[in-house]
Amino acid sequence: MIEAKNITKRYGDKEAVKDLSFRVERGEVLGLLGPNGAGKTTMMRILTCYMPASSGSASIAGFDVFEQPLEVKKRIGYLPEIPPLYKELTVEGYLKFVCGIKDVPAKSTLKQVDAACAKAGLTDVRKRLVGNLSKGFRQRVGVAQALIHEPEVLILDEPTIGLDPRQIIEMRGLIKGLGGEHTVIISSHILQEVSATCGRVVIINEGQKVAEDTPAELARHVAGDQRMLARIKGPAGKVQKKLGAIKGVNGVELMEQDEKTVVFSINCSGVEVIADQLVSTLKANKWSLYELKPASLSLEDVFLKLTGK
Amino acid sequence: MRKILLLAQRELASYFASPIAYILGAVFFLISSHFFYVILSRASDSSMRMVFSNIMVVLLFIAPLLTMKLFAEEKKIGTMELLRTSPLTSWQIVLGKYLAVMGVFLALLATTLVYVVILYWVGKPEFGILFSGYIGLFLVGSAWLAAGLYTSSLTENQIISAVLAFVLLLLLWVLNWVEGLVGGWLGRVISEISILAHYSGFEKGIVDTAHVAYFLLFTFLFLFLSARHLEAERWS
Ligand SMILES: Nc1ncnc2c1ncn2[C@@H]1O[C@H](COP(=O)(O)OP(=O)(O)O)[C@@H](O)[C@H]1O
Ligand SMILES: [Mg+2]
Repeated sequence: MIEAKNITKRYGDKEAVKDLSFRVERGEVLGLLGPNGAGKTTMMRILTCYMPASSGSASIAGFDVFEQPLEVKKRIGYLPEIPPLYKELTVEGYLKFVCGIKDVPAKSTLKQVDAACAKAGLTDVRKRLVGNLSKGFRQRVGVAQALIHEPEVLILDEPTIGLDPRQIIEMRGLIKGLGGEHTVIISSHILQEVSATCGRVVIINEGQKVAEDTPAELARHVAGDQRMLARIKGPAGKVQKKLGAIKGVNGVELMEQDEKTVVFSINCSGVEVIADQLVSTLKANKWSLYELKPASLSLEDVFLKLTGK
Repeated sequence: MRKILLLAQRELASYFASPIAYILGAVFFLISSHFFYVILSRASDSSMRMVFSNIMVVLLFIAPLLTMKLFAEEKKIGTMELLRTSPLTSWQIVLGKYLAVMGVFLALLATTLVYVVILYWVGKPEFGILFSGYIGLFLVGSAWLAAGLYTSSLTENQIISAVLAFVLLLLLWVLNWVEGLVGGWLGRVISEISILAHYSGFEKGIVDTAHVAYFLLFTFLFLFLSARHLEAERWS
């Protein structure tokens, strides 16, 4: 449904996207994962015909984004990083306007507006001015705008950015429900986000593809290296040595230290493997455990793991 | 065509949602009222000519303020990204915006018709001069708004857009002064481009097709440049 082949985009001397290729099958939800500045927005703007690539080609539903932009634009819904809203219009007025520029026939406009409002959870605020809505609702108006003409392809650039935790969960639910009916690409810089919503993930860094896999496979790949944070009262050097000797621990790192306690980062193959020994070691030495929690894997950790550095 | 009208309608809604259209409307009406008041109190044809040239000077200031937001604002708030990823052509976007600002301009101009009615009521103004005067204002306004639309497409800063438009209009207006400085055929060509040279006939009651063509060409040129600029911008 979506195919990008060897896309490169240069801004002056800077290569924002380098030789990037991927495919998305019909009905799939693909996550573009990468830190800020990785080139996610740039890639999405190329796919949506906002700007052409410096080299390489891309097609959506069989139409080349460069040769047949109008055909491509008819088939996509796009939520840019900043939702493109007219604050002086009501939600309904805005969505009707979008219907008009997206070729929705006049007679089905109202039906489409109803459907989009229902999907995006906007039914209660239809008559309100877009400018008076909260950030979360504006983001939903952005999503409604993208799916109002029932496009085959949806491209959503960081759809949960700036939302509060509850809104993020709602938005993830909404995105998950879009797969199947639509072919979706979302971008994010949060690992958990794409794991929660996508069937497949393409990880990019500095414009280049680092990895491509299902979230489960990626998780398995990095799970061998779970990190725990432990705050322990005891002599730093000695504790570090003893902890390192526990079976299943791959490394212990001193993270921070105050007068009484020390925080260690323990690399292990899973908390269930080391828990018993950890407790008995601490007990034997009369050290006390103040806190034990899993350190969430950051995108940086994943990169390090995947690139094997 | 349906999309052009839709874009124009959206644009008009945004004009009337912000105070700028009302403020400019009020200022324009007050100043033009003053000029009409002067001829009403003196009642001569020569002063009638003055009304039109004075209104034109006011338009020189108002046109850049009317057009400054057209593209600049949408670039700033990110809605250009919606327009440019929707199945719209650059010409549709340009014409939609142009139609809207022309609508606002015509509404401004229409406010002065009050005085035309009064003029007919109190006396017998010469129809020819009134008619050509309005045609002239309409043509000059059309051309200036097209130029302002173009400068608005160059930047996302409304102030810069307005200043660029004002400087451009001023230069084009006074170009016929250059004739004396440059002289020869070049001077003549330059002064032919000047707005003033083409406008003065309309104040005297003459509607010359050559001058009409000049303003229409001027308008088309800037609309064309705007559409071209939208295309070219994708490449930068
Ligand atoms: N219009 C532009 N001009 C110059 N550089 C740009 C432009 N847009 C983006 N960049 C650069 O390209 C890189 C990729 O940006 P972007 O695609 O926005 O990344 P992401 O969306 O992943 O954060 C960044 O280093 C950014 O600074
Ligand atoms: Mg981005």
